[in-house]
Amino acid sequence: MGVVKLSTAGILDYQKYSSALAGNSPYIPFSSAFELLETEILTGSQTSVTFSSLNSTYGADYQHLQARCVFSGGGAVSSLRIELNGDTGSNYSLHVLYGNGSSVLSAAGAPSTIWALGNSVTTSNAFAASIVDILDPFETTKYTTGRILHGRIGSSNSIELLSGNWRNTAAVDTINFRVDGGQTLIAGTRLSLYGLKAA
Amino acid sequence: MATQTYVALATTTLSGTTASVTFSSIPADYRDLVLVTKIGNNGSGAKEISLVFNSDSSNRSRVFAAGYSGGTLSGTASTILAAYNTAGLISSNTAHIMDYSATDKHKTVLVRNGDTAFTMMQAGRWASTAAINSIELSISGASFTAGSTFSLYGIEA
Repeated sequence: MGVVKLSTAGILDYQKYSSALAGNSPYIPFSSAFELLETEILTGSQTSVTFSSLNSTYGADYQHLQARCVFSGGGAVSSLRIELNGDTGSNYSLHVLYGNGSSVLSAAGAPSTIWALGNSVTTSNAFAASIVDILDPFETTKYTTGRILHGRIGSSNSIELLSGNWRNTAAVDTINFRVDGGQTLIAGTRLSLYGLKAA
Repeated sequence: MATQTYVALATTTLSGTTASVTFSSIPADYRDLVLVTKIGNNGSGAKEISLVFNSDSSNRSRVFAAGYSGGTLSGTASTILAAYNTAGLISSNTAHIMDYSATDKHKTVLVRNGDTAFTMMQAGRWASTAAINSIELSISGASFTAGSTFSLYGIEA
C-alpha cells in the first residue's frame, strides 16, 4: 500500500486543534429522570402480575413510581386491583371522581383489602387504561398514597380520577396487579412500572 | 436494568395563527405517546381541539367529565379531543396515547385538560389496530393562536 502524505501547503485558512472533536457539537448523553423499570406484556391469559423486590432493587434510586396499565378481562367486566406487599388487611382506601357519559359523580370507598381501580370493557380489541402514580413508595415514615387516572370506552364508558392510601408505613416491595371476580388478564394486557428520580 | 425514557420527539411553537398541527412519521420505537400542549384560539366561546390519528376521522369515541362555574357535565361523542379551549384563555393539556405502536388492540387515550374557565378529563378510543404514525390537531371554526406550543414525547415499555 502506498503512503499518502497529508499537507496543509495548499490551505490558507486552517487552524490547529488539540482535540479531534474540536469544531463539532459536544456530545451530551440523553438524560431523563423517568425510567422504565420493568414491564409485562401478556401473550396469554394470566391471573395476576407481580413486581417484586422493588425496595431492595430500586428504593435507593427512585422517589416515586408510576404504573402505566392497558388491560382487559376479556368477556367479563373486571376492575383492576392493586395489592401492596401482599397485605390483605383492610388497610386501603380510595376516593373517586368520575363521569359516566351522563353525569359526574363522586364516591368514597369504605376501607378495603385492596385498591380496586376502574373497570375494563368487553368490546373486542378495546382495552381500559390506568396511569397509577405511587408517591414516596420507599419512604418509611408515612402512609403510601396513590393517584390514578383511569378510563374505559366501549361496552361501558367512564373517565375516573382516584386517590387513595395504603395505611402502612412500610416501604413498598411488591405490587400485585389482578382483576376481580375470578377473571383473568387477557393477552395484550400491558403493565409497565417506571421510576422517577429525585434530584 | 432501568431504561431512561420519556423522550422528546418533536416540539413546535406557532409563530402565527395556524389552522392545524400535524405530527407525522412518528416512529414505532416507543409504547406510549404523551402529547403536551398549551393552546389558545382566535374564535369565540369554547372550542374543541380534535385529535385525528393516521388521517382517520372515523372510528373515534370518547367519554368526558368536566367541571366549571355552572356545575359539572359528562357526555359522550364520536370524536377524541386533545382539549377544550376557551377563546381568550390559554389551556394546558396532556394526552396519554396508550400502546400507540401496538397492532393487537384499539388505542386508548387519557386526557387531562383545563383553562381558567373549566377543567376536563376524558377517555377516548380509536377503534383501529393500526400503529399510530401521525397525529393531527385542529379546531373547528377557529385557528390556534401564535405562541401555542405542541410537544410530543415517547415512552418505552
